Amino acid sequence: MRLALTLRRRTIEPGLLAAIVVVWGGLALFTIYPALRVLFYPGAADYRAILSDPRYGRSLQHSLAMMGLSTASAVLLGLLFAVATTRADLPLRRFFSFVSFLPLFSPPFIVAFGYIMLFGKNGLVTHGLFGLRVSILGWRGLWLAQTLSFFPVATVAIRNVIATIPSSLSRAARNLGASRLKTFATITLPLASGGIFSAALLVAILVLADFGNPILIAGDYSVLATEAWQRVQGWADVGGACVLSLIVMLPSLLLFVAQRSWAKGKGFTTVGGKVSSMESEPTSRPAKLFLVLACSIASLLILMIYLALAAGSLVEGWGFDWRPTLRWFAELGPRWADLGRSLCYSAAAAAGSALFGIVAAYLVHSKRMPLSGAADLAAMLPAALPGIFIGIGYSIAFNRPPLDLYGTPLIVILALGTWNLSTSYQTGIESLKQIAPSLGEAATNLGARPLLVFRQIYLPLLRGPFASATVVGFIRSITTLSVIVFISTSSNSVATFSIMNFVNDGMYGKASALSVSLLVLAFAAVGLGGFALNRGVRSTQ
Amino acid sequence: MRKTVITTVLALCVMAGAFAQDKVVIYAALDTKTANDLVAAFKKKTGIDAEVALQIEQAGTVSSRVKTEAANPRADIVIGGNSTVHGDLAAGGFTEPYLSPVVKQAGIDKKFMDENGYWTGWYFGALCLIYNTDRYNKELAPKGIRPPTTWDDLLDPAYKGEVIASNPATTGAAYLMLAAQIFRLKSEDAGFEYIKKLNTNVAQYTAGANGSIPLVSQGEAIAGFAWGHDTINQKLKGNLPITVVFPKDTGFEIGAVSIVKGAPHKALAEKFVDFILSPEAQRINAEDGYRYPVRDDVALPAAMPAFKDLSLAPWDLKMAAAKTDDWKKRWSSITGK
Repeated sequence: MRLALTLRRRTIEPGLLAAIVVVWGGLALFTIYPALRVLFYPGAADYRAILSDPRYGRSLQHSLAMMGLSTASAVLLGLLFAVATTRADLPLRRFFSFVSFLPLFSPPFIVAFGYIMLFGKNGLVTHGLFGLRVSILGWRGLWLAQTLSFFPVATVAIRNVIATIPSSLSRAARNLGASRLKTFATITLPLASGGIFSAALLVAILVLADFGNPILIAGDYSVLATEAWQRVQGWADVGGACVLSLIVMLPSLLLFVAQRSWAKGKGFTTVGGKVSSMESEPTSRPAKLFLVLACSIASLLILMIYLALAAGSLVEGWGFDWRPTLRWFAELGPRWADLGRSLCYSAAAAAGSALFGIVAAYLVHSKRMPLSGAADLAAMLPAALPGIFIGIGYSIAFNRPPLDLYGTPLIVILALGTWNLSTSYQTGIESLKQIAPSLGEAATNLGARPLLVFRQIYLPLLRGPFASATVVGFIRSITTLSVIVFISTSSNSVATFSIMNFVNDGMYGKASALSVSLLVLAFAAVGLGGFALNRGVRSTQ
Repeated sequence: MRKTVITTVLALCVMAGAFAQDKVVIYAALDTKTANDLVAAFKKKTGIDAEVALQIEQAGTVSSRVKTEAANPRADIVIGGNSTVHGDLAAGGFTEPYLSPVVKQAGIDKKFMDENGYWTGWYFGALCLIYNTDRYNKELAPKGIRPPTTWDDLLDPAYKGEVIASNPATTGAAYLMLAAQIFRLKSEDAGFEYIKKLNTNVAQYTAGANGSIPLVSQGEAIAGFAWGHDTINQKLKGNLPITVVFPKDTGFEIGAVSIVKGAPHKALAEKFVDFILSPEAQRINAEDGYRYPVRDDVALPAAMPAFKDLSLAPWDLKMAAAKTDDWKKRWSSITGK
């Protein structure tokens, strides 16, 4: 009976049909099609050459080792920050929340110089303070950088879930005599475990495909995700780069399939799907102390690195000539246009991708999507792809009629949007799981059509996840290099492209000035966006 | 709403198709200043319009773009990067042969040109040694260690963990450095013996050719090697605390320019190649980028040592090309990188 009803409704409502067509069409054209172009680009000789080279076996081992290490530490730190920032009575809560967004911002190359300046052989902390001559370059540095880069992703994912756990549950447990720790261990953690596990999955996939950190800090500890880039940069071996990208993709897809089969039937839903209005349980003193201390140490580390970055843009010679100067900013000149393009393209890509991802998540989650398993896979595919894979795919696929987008803003926006799709889609799926299906069913029974249910019931509840997916997507887009290097021309190039060129030209002062400008503008945009969104919420209420 | 999106998409497509009418479209693996100055001088001299549509100082990335765009070529010219990169493009059928009449007119040595006429050599570059002047003066000079002036100086145990090298798996420059050792020591075994000894001193094999410049400047290591022209350029622009030395028997490259196969403006592209061999272009390239001209009638900036003062390793181009895979593999088995 229900099936018949949904079927009838599907034929009735053209809006829903259109949504399905747009989502499937978008996935097919902008995700699957370019991926297939990359798959079929290399010849048999390329596969042989790469697979027989011992270097890449080593890189694969390194990648898997880093995946284990960095995922574990990033999820732990992410959990810590998620708990800390959802406790209303924790001091410095807002500050921690702000700091946890900082590491999302990692423009190519320059952040590494922050690490080297502080912790390198000549580092201000390691050598200057402790007289050590240790190198940060290598797997240890990479571990630190990846932990700091990816814990915010875990924080966002876990926080969204924790926020939806009604505090009435833990209050009830406390009233029944459970200790605070026991309540956390038996109520909060199990309810959040789905969110924690998918955060771990997402982080693991991001670590595997991570390009930005290893290219900065791994030194000659080779990992697979940068090998594709190196093949291109050093030997112009596009075929080999495609093979390497495919090798990176495989373990990620395996992880994904594992997570989906694990998650089946293990979902926890909490009725309202929204932060409950009841005041949450006050945090105990030792817990407070521990949370504040741990978060402060991590925050201090992060702040130091970004302060070093800022310092680098304000001195004559980074690490050797500390006379202050503003000339690197003054000399940016025509590169200000790149900043403008970075902001516009990233905003468009992030908002588009968040909307698309959440609609797709709704269609898949509510089982209204034909072939929903395949759509699920297609929407998660971009997370498994190194940025350069998407760049190469777009460069081959959209450089000729019928869809010739060469040199246009659109090709950059689409590539960035696709690259971010999985984050917003996964955020959507996780949040939808927290909303009891009975809410939608009730509306349906009262005669509301699926699109109306989506607009009136789900969309308001998904506003928070939508906003955080947009922010994460925006900051990731604005700082990526590997996605855009294959589709940039002088007419659509963005700031990271210029940063790379400054670094290649040895102009580190200008490179850090541009990075700092990008950081300030990005955070100003996020702040303004958040402000506008809040006002929007208030005015609709 | 949807209509506006579709119209915008169509408009953008039309714009993309329309740009670059009668304009030489250049993909440049050169530094920004050199690329821009060359194009400005070309426009002024010939009255032909030109545009640097892509500029990245990584020849591999630029030439990869030519490859992925081959179904519908956008660039006319790919300039910068050495003869290995351009030879690879020619072998893949991505470029077209062109022999400029200027070669004969100006009496440029034929050794700078591809023997099948695909690429045109337009500059010459050599590898240099670099060291962090402060750290050397403070840490090594008091111990009586000589500043590095030859490849063998880098083997001194005083440099243990203090040398930045690069990796032939990821950059052609490292392969040329390896070949230089084999050619100067007159046997493969002796060359790899050198690599083995050097390996004990190496802190870091960078992926890129010039990765040692920032690391040595920041004191992450004391010594390293890189392209001489790029190092001089960066040192002067950034006032880097490093010393540059061209060692005896060094490795070198021939920088090349090619015309892309199926170039939308082939006739104009040929004019650009002619221009690149002119005294004006050669002087710009020496002054902006410190690269050696292929003509004899161009004055060098003071920061460059005279060409005759460079000591180059005896070279066997054919052997270096034929042995690439072998030598890269043997290098990897010795260093484990």
